[in-house]
Amino acid sequence: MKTYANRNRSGDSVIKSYIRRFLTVIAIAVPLAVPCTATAQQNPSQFIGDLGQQAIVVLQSTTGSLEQREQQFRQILAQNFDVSFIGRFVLGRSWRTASPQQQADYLALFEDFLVLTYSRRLGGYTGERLAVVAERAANERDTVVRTQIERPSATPITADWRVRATPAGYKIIDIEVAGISMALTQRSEFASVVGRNGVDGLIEVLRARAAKLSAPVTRS
Amino acid sequence: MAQLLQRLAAALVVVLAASQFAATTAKADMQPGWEAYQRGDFGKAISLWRDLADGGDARAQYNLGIMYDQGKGVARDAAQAVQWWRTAAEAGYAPAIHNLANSLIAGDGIDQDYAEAVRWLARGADQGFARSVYTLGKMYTYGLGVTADEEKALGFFTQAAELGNPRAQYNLARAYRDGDGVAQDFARAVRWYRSAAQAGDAAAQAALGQRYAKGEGVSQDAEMALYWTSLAALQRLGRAVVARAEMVQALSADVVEKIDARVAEFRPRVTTQ
Repeated sequence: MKTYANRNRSGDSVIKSYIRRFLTVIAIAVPLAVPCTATAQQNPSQFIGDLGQQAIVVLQSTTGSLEQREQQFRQILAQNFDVSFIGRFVLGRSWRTASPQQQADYLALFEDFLVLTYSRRLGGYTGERLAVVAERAANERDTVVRTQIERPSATPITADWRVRATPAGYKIIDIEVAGISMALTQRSEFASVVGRNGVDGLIEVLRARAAKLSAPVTRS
Repeated sequence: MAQLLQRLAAALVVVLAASQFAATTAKADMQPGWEAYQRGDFGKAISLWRDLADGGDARAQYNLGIMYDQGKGVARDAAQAVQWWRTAAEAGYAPAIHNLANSLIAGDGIDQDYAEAVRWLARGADQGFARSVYTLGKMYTYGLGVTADEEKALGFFTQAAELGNPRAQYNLARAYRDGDGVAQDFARAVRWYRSAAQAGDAAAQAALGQRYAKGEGVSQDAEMALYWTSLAALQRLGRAVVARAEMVQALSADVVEKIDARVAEFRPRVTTQ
């Protein structure tokens, strides 16, 4: 019994350390790759490459407060991810059984959740660069762009960006690091919340996360 | 007697000087961490605030909670965030009380406990902390940790709206528009939609645009309708994007251009709550 519990715990911690590493990579990679408004994009590699270039400009900017830069960054993030597609995918089967009101509430909150999760590390920029190394078609609509994130004092990280051609231009629909998909990871996390407390419970969790104050104070 | 007075005066001077000194150092102490944070040097900010937090400064404790919650300069650790917020909350610091309550609602870094969340929110509300007053209203709307009570919820929304909270203003406006728990009152609905819209709330901007389009609680005005609807559309609110496209069809290009220029100049009213 004891042995089983121990093994179980170590299994958990392996998964947790994977997820932590994964999130760290995402936190570094996403600020690098995202800021870009719809410019002329000939192919998905250029789309991701351009985002990387422009991200560095934003990250190195010193105008405005960190909060203003973060706000600006979140808007750009929301524009370059297919937030509603990812949101529906991540909710899985529960999307179809949710009421229209639940769907609307969830999607509005999911955008906040997504951009908050991936813009966490903005401002912690220490000279990372993103290089596109390969591209392959996943299916008729989707392309996977492989990138190397080069870091000044650490080994590079490989990240795969799943890019979909939509009527509104290319949109990122998933990121995979070390074989772990961001969308699938979130999907299992959300499924366990929905399993315990239903879709309303998940909405409540997202609402509470968004309701937290997120800026440090300097006085009062 | 004169000597006593003299001594008293001297003591008073010392006390005043000390409190003055305490006030300025408290302010100065937070500043280096703040500057490091703004530069994006999160590790430095954390170490500066940690010294203050260990010395019992509730604001520094609250700030450390933010860094752990957001994973800035450290690996995200929701449980550590909750611990720092709890310490500052127990000292009565309202922003920490608010975040601790929301961690309890989300079950983020701590077991979910609606009843305890309500107790903390009530403490924040007692201090007039608008966000906590609003969230407390929501707990009564959904019956989380308390028995659902629309009347109490509206009471809290009214209080938070008057304290300047845009979400509360929006909820209150909607209640007046629909006569939901209050006598229907379009003029009051417009007043609260306007407050929230001016603070940049997209849903409120779209709703205010619709009041102008329909002439409900305000004189019908197609230009003002376009103005507020455009501001909501800029924030990518789906229904506002659709409504704006229809409004643009019905107006001349000159008018649309004029309104677009005013939209570009919009700056949200800064809200502290």
